[in-house]
Amino acid sequence: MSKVVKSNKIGFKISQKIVLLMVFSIILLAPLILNYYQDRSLIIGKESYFNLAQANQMNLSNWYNYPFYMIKLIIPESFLMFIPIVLSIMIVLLFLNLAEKLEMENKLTSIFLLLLALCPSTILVLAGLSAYSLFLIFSLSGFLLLQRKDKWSGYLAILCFILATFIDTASGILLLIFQAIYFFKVKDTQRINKNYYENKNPKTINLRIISITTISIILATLVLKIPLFIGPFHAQQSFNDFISDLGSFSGMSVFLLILFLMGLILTWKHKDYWIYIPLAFSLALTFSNTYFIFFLVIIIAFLAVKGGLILWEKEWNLPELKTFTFLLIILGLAFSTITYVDRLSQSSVSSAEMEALNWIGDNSPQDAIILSLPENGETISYFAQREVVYSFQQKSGLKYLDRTPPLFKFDYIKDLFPELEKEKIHYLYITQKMREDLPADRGLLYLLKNERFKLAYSSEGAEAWVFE
Amino acid sequence: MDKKITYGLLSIFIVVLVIRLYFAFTIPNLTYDSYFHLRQVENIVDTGLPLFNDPLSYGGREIRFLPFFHYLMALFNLLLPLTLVAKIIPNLLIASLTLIIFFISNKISNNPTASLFSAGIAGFLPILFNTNSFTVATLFLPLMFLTIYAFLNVEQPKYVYMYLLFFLLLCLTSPITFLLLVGFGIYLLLSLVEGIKIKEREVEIIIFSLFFYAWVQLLFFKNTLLAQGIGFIWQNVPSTTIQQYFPNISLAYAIILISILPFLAGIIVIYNSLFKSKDEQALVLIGLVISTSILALLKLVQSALVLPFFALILAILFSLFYRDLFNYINQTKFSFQKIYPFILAILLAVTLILPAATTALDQKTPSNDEVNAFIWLKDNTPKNAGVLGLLEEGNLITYYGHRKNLMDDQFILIKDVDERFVALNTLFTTSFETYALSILGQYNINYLVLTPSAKEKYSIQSFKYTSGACLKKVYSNFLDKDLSLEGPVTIFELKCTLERSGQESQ
Repeated sequence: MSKVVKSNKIGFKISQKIVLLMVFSIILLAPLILNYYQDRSLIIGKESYFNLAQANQMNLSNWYNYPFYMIKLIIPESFLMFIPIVLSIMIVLLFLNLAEKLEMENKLTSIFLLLLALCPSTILVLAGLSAYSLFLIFSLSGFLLLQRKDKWSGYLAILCFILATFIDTASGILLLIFQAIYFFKVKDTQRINKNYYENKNPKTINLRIISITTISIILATLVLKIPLFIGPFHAQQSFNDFISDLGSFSGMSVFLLILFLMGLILTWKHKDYWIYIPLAFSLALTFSNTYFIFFLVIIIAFLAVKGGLILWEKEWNLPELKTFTFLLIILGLAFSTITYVDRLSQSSVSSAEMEALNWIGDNSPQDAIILSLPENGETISYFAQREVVYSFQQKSGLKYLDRTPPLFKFDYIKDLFPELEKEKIHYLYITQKMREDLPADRGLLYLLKNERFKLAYSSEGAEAWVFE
Repeated sequence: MDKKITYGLLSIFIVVLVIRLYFAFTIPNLTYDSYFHLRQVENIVDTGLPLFNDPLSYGGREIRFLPFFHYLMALFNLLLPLTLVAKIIPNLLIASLTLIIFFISNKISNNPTASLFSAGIAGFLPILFNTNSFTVATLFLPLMFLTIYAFLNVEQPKYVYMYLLFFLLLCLTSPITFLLLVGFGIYLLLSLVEGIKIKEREVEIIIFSLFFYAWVQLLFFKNTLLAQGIGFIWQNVPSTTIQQYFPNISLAYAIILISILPFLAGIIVIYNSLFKSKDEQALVLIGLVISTSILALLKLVQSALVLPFFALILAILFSLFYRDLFNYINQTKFSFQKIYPFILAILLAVTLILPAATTALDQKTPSNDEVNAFIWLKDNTPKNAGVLGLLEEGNLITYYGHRKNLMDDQFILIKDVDERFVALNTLFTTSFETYALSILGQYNINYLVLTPSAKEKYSIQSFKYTSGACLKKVYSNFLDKDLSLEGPVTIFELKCTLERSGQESQ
């Protein structure tokens, strides 16, 4: 630790690390605390349910569920909610150590981490049991191990990179981009590598790591058939999903976006064009799958902090305005985060919904197929452990951009009943939110009045219906 | 300032105000959209708060808007009756634009005579001659130009505070303030392209304004933004009627509303400033012209709000045109320097005053007969009754009738706005009684108002399903004692309800 306190600007004091970890933990604990008091499920995010449900059906293409499978086996279910906090603490510690090794400015690192902690996309991913948390742990460990001066660390780094490429193809390619930037841009890399591998040419070593990562991505994609992206776990809206203040389930605050745009202009003069490569890549992929915004926001937050610091360090003609502007930025970011945490909590599974799903699990045959909106697919799979008709994660490649799938749109029983019979659907799961969002005077909810539908379970708006 | 100029400016202001007030008091009622704001002002006077949870609009709904205009008018209402406030204050505010435009023009052209011309154009712009309009735009425009004036003088400390005050008020008046921010953005871009050094103060003020605007809008519209996302820009206007609120603006129509001379002069000045003179202060205004045009073309702002703003900027730019033309004429051997202003004044008067008067006379306002019918609702119908009227009459139902409407022009946060719009049109056009009854039942409508405006809009003489026993005529204001005679406005009471069984739609 003596090395840590060597410099005010680059090294981190233990107290600074503790403060950063505390801020991260408090923000990630906030939805848990809210859920606890509102009697909702303490597992945050649809991806968590997806991963936990998948952990029961291990196969090669979802190998990363193995850690979740182990966690589920070892840790009692009531403690599962603390796993994301532990993973997040690991990510923060790894990042802080890497930042020190790369001699990143202390102020830049801490504000970047604080800003990330306030980003809805970070909260969504890190507060849940997410595969991207594992990706970050493996990637950061890989880069950190590359900094160590022994042979085995080099091999371990390669192993970490290989593991990181098995999440999804898109994140694997992003890792590859960062590796390339690391090898070409980061100071002293070549010197360090020369020490590690004795007299070998550092360029060869760098190329070897990049080649191994590339082969790993190709193998994982073609042989293990890992998906191009994980997610989405919600009905995508290409523009709204970028900004959490526009009702997105993830994304970033509008204040971060403004800061980022300023950062983009202000850092242009610095000619650090390398950051624009992962930025452009993440932006393009986020348009395809908005769950990928997690990575885009990390890059955006970095540029926003750089821009913000330039603005802060600059002498203003109107100093009062400077103070007030930064106060507005802090207030705006805090306001957006609080609103988002509250929304995240309200969108969690309520105790009544858990009971209804458990009822379906206890009272339906093992091969029963459950009809509900795709947004409920993951929770049904986890709690009721039954197959669902609609889910955003179906392997069939169906994308429900329209939140209301076909079976919910039929207005006549002559159209609906043959479809239900054909698909062997005998159980329906209806939530209070569905009642609020779907029309009551037409479509499936209206047809529930027919005598062939029987309300089998109902509690506080969560209903299980049987189709006879 | 020269006394002649001062008197000239005051004369323009007084003449504009008098003419506007003449039209305002000659036309008996206010424009349809004004009644929403009147109701809000009344509520602020009564309770101190705006009606964010309106029990009557759409049968009961939540609404969010920026309330500064309503509070200001409520303040005036403490001194004057609301009917007078609604006619005098908006006209006073719009007439004050002549003064503001004069000062901005003088700042950029440094030519008081040219600025007087700009003030005159601003005063008689046809698009601003909605003298019976009691809307937020009447406060927004003067505030916007005061903010621009303060921004142009920002190198003086007192104007920094002035800017901050006006911008704060502007942010609390209308979300369209973002026009100014986009304009500033384009100004910065143009300065960069032209190689003009931007003042640091200006950049600092723009950065502050951007964050302040975002913060205020988030505070007020949090729920609206979360519910409607980017659709907030289009204010949840029903998809079938969006063309009415965000129309394609034809050049000919825009020229009529803005007037041909300021329009042509504006184009010449923009060309000169961008490619020849590179006038720094004109660049701010050109940035605003470009931002307004782009946003209107992309249908991101309502043309009704954008065109007046656009026209006023062109009025300011006219001062540069006048100055440059006058300088040019002075250099020539012709000796009509003295008559040149008079010729221009006559040309402007011809192209401005007549269209302005026509605009004032063509304002869409309800007739006294219609207003009386809506007042009748208040005294003769149950308090929880729902009333069907035209979309634009929705605010009359709630303001005069104090009854629930099916819909009005405040669409924000209404989930089923498209369905309601279809239902409203269907109720005026369908021939099927059962179908009409099912819709009326669904939206708890008990009374149907048929006004001359509705008859004209749907080309009908009466509801096509009135022949049965389900609709009883209860009001006909031509002779309200003898209901057999058809008056201009008729009110029907619904006497039947349709029972709906579970099997019905199957």
